[in-house]
Formats: sequence, C-alpha cells, structure tokens
Amino acid sequence: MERLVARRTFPLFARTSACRSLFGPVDHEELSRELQIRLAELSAEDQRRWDYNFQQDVPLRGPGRLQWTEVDSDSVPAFYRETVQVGRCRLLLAPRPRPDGASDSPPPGPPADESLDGLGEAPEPPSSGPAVAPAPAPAPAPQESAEQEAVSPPRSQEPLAEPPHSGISGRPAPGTAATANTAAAAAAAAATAAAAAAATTAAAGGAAIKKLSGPLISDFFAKRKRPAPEAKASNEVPAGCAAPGAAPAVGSAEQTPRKRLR
Amino acid sequence: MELLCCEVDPVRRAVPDANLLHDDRVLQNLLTIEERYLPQCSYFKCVQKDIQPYMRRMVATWMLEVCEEQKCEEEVFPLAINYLDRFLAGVPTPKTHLQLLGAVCMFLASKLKETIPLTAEKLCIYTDNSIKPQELLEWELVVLGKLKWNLAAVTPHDFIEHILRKLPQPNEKLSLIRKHAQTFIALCATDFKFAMYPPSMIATGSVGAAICGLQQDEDVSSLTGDALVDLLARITNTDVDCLKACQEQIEVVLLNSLQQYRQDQDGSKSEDELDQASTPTDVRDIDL
Repeated sequence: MERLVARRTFPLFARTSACRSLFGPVDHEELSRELQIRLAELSAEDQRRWDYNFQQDVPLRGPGRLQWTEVDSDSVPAFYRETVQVGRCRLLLAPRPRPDGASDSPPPGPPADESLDGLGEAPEPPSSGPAVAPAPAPAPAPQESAEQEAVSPPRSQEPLAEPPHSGISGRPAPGTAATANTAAAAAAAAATAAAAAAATTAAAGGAAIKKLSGPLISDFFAKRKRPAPEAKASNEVPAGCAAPGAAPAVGSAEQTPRKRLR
Repeated sequence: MELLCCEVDPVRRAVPDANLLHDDRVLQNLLTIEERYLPQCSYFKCVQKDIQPYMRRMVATWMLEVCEEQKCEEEVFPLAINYLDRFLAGVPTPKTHLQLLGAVCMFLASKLKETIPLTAEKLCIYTDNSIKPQELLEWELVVLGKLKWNLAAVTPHDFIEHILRKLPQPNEKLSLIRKHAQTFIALCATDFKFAMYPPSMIATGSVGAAICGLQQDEDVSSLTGDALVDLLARITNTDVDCLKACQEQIEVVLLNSLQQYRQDQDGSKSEDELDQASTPTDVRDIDL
C-alpha cells in the first residue's frame, strides 16, 4: 500500500514542459534494426570472451582461451542448476538439450526472440553446469558417436561409474533412433563431457544425448527421466546431493511429468 | 486519508555510516578506482558522427529536468550522465536515438540508487511518447552490455561527505554548502567540458565554488582563497592548479546558466519557475 502512495506511482497529472521529444520522431524500424546489430555485437563479444556459443549452447571447438569441461549437475550446488517453474514448485532441470534440430526448442527458455534470449543467458556462462577450466587440462576431442561418448571418459577416476551410466543410457529405448540422427551433436556433447570429473558426469552427458532426439515435450521428459534415478539413489545414499532441498525437488520434477505422460 | 499518507515521505534513508565516512581508506579507494569509470575518449571527435556537443547538452538538460521533477536522489542524474558518456564513447549513435539513450541511462541509474525507481512507462511519457516502454527495456540490455554491467560508477557525490568532513566549517553551515555543491555537480554533468574530469576533482571544485559563492553573502568558512584551495587539493590529492582551473570553469558555467535563465525569464517562459527565482544560486532550478 505504501508503494501506491509513493510519489513515484502517481500518474503524471499534467504534462509538464519536461515531456518533450528532443530530436523529432523516432524511426522505430531503424531503431529495431540498430538494436539487432548491437545485440549481435554483444553476443559476438560474449562468445569471444567465453569461447562459448551461447545461441546454440555449446562450447567453441577451436583452441581458445578457455577450455570447457562438462561436469555432472549433481556435483555442483543446486543453485547452479537450471530450474523451471511448474505450478507452484520449482523443478530442477537436467542439462539443456543442444538446439540442434530446428524444432528442438528448450522448454525452459522463454520463446522470445533468440538473440535476446541468448544475450540474457550470456552473463551466466555456467548455465547448465559446465565449469570453466582455464586451459590446463588436455582437450577432450573424441567426436565420433554416442557410443564413444560412453567410453570416452576413461579419465574419470572411478571405473565403477561406467556400468551405471551405460545402464541408464540404455534404458530409454525410444530415444535411440533419434540419437543416431543427431550423432554429431551428441558427439559434441560427448567431447565436452569427456574430461569431467566424476562418473555421474557421463550419465549427465548421456541424458543430454537422449534429449536431443525428441521434439519439445518428449524432450522435456527424457530429461526428467535421467536425473530421477540418480536423485533417488542419492536419497538412499545421501552422498551425492550437498543441498538438502535438491533431492526432493528433483524427485518432484520426476514425478509430475511422468504421471501425466505415462 | 490517502492525502494524509501522501505527506509522509515514503523513502527511507539509511543514516550516514561513520564507519565508512570516517575511514580514510574508503576515500583512498574511491580515488584509486574512480578513473575506471571515465569515458574512454572525447567521443565527439573520434566516435560520433551525428551527435554534436549541443545535443548532449540538450539531452542532459532534459534528463536533469526529469530527475528534478521526479525528485530523484541526487546521484541519479550524474550517474545517468556517466552511463550516457561511457556508452557514447564506444557506440556511434544517431541523434534520433539520443533521447532514448538518455531515458535508458536514467532508468538504470534510478534502479541502482533509489528505493522506488523510475518506471519505464513514466520515462516514455517524458519523451512525449516518442519511444515505447518495450524499446526502453530492449535498449537497457544493450546499454548494460556495452557498459559491461559495470554500473556502480564513482560519482562526485561519493566524495562530498569525505571532503566536508575535513573542512574546518561550523556544522550548521555544512548543509548549505552541501546543497550548493550538489547543485554544481549537477551543473557540471550537463556540460561536456567536465565529462573527462575525475569525479573527485569535480567534487572538490564544487565544494570550493560553493564556499566561495556563499562567502560573498555570509561568513561560512574560516578558510578562504588559496588556503582553502590548498586544503581541498590535499584532501583529494588533486593538483592545485587543476583544481583552481576546474573551480573557475564551474563558476563560468554557473554564470552562463544564470544568464540563460534570465533570458528565458524575460521571454514568456515562467509558470511555477517564478517562485524558484528567490534562490538564484540554486542552479538546478535555474536550469529549469
């Protein structure tokens, strides 16, 4: 109520002499063209600065200043993970799908114009969890197939990680065909995933790959599917999740869509 | 009932923090970082093709009017001008977009400094609806990006209290000196001459000019003339000659705007401005 009373919220009663157009009418089309140019400049700048393509949400390939390493979203604090508001709950998302297929629009992103969207994301580079490694680690380059991705993290210290991961990626069979379609993109994901620290990383990478395939909705669920088992596992063995709130959130994220879809 | 409520100033202000104001490290840090927020170059020569110095004055004067009418906090206007100059130093801009840019800068500065910031809609009305709120918001992103989200610029206002505290003035005169100094700071922001000056110098020069101006009517300072300038220069590590030059420039600008004001008054331009004529030293009113 106090805000309403505040001077600032009163309507301007009379137009004062300060209400004036200084330099004549504005050409709104020209303005909008100019806007696009400037936004593109900024986004190119961001891309250079972070060695990251924010529009497509993939790290740049070339040997740049930075080297990107994909890490499992469970290994970072919850607030680094993407969330989406569904009704009254805020749900954690798995890593975002690569916007590879044209129809493949990520559900969390507002459907506004892309460049604006891209810019909006720019200031928070570690959007889906990949951490910036300032170049010391050798570049993980293998980019052949999704399969290879599964194999590619030989660097990960725990071989134990391997079986669960492959098991998980095997499970959602419907996605497989599509996975083949987008093998290239998947490979890209794999490349970034390779150096990742823990075994779970690989699982996350797998999730990303699966996601690629589907159109919007199935996409959404495929994503859900993945973190859920992990989350539950970590519920039982409360080692994985540092944040206490995180696990339940994932759980609910898991449930809502599944109930509806299946 | 509601009318009664209106008489209460809804803006809550923090009390001055002695821990900040009485710690010399704060002043030294401000002096160290202030240069970072200066515009990169004198942009009329190297960047802008369409915009002329008088256009900057036009848009700055308009921005000052809006800030005054909306009773913005004192820092909002100089801060908005800082954004404007830094943006223009990097991005060639046609003059038809200049007012939009000014509105965006006020929008940002107001959000940073005020508890109840200016709204996009209101700012658009002040442009006589020549821009739309949506455009304002879109360009906000561009300006933010070009300024690298670096909004907490050092302004001359940041130095005022630090300077006043070290002057041997009786306390009861301080508020008058402060008010005049703030007015001079706003005046400087409207003039491109001062755009490349470090904020500390503008603050020091403004305090000096305020004391000198007030001294003519009443005794506000035990220190005058060179002794005052020397002390001021020591406080902010400013070169004495630069400071003198700056103070003189401020006085010249004040004189010009006083003359401008009188001309405007001789013309048919006077409504509510008349009652402000009783305080001819308040330059912001004069500028209106």
